[in-house]
Amino acid sequence: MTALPDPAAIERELREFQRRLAAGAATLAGLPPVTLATAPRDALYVDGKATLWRYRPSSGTKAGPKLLIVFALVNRPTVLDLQPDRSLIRSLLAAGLDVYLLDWGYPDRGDRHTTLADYTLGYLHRAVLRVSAGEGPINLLGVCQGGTLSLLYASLEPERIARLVTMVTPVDFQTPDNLLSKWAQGVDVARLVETFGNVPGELLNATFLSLMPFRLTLQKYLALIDGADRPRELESFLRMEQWIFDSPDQAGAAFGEFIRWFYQENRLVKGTVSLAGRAVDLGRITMPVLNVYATADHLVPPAASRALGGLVGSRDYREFAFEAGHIGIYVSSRAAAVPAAIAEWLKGR
Amino acid sequence: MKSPDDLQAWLEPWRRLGEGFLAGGAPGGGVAEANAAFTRFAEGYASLLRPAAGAGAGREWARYTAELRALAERFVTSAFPEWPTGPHAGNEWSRELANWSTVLGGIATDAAERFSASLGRDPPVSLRAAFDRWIDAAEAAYQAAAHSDAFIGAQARLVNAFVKERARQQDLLERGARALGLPTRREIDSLHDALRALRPAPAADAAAAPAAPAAPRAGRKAAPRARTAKPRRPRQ
Repeated sequence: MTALPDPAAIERELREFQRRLAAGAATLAGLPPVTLATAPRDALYVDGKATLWRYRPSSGTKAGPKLLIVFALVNRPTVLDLQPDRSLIRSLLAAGLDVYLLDWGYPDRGDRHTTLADYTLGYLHRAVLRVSAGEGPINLLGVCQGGTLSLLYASLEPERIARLVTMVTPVDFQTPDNLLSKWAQGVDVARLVETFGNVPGELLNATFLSLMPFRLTLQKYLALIDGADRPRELESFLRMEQWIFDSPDQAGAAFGEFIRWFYQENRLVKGTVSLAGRAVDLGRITMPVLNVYATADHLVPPAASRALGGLVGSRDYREFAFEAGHIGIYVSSRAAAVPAAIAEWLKGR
Repeated sequence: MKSPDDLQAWLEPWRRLGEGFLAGGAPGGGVAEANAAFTRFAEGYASLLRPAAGAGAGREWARYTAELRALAERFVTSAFPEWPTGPHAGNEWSRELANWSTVLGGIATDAAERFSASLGRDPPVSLRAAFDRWIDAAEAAYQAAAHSDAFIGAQARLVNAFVKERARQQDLLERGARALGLPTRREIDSLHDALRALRPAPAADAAAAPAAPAAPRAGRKAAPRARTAKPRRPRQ
């Protein structure tokens, strides 16, 4: 039989656990509601459900090169400004960049027929024009799925983009370590979209959690007890939870196209994507490209991102590897290195 | 474990331990009970792994699988109220849910084996360490299965069966709505589609935009080329 721990030690451990649980409950009761995305900003315009935000420059800095951030459709961009001391956006502002964000908002049933062409050549294109304001090409930062949309756009409208940054962006959707892709292969996505209309955010969230169900639904919450009597840790945890479960529904048509074209057919790698009758050729991306990826990313494995290097036409292609997971790249205690690298790269060109 | 009742007996100390926590008092009768619970927990796993357990073990696993299935149904029903469950659910959905439960049962077996082996190699020094060890074992078993054709196929068939069943239910409701002269989801979708058709096409948006001044080009690379850029490490 397996040797057992010292019974007295077990009792001490259980009592300590109980004490922490009680302390955590008391701390929780005293916390104010957490807020996300507090960097000062102004809405430049509202386009359907989407909003184009411009962030106010940090005090003492002059607005430098324009940078438009395009986030994924599947989550909210609030993770980019989770809290003042863990904020990619604030760090980019502090580095002197003129930061804009295209916020897709929350699609409803009226957006059921919205396609990837609508998102890319409609909403994104109009945001690029507005940010540019006739002053020439701008810098584009595409995050995760937003990076894929940015690649589509930059290949179709290369003259409008000065420099392109992709961050944890899937390009090759069928690398051997891509579990999400394997799961997507046999799903009848056309029937799914036809039945649901828009695809519920909760469904996607459950899918993401089920990639690592024991760590993400059990261990994470037990580990919370370790810092339960430390208010700042608890606040950070609550902010992350709020972000994770703030999942917009997905416009049915665009979701169907994304799953079928990319996960099931890997069209970006094969060069067979077409948007509104226009063929997407990543070889037309000749502007400087910085590809930022996370070395321990379980949603977008490094190989899925790094495939970009062999597909773009640019001779100025660089990679920046960050030792973290898909979310840690925004919010880990070391994550300030990422916006620093982006700003340095942008200013060096 | 020799009979299905043993499973309940096996879980009972842990249930009492949990109730002790919830009541805020001493954990389930103190250290003696904690010790007994831990012992039964480990013994229970060990007994599941005995190859000579025979038909009794088979019945236990059938019961365990049924419980797992009921648990899965309760979970999905609470998470997705529209999820079809119970006697009115379609045959295909029921069949695929049973298949899926079998796959999960296989993962549970593998997790138990990994956990047991881990305990034997290096006994944990605390309950928390034992819990973390269990998570490691369960996650490793899950990851090993999740990439397999059996898991991927069963999950895809389950999702597809669920969607078909939901579509069938929607169709029934739509027929009812039409019979009563009420608007249907399809009609509203059709309206949305018509409204969307009135908006300018996105390709036209791009084509109508003023030409941008030239962007600085990095130049088109010769194809194919070997990539020489090496990943940079983050500054610590």
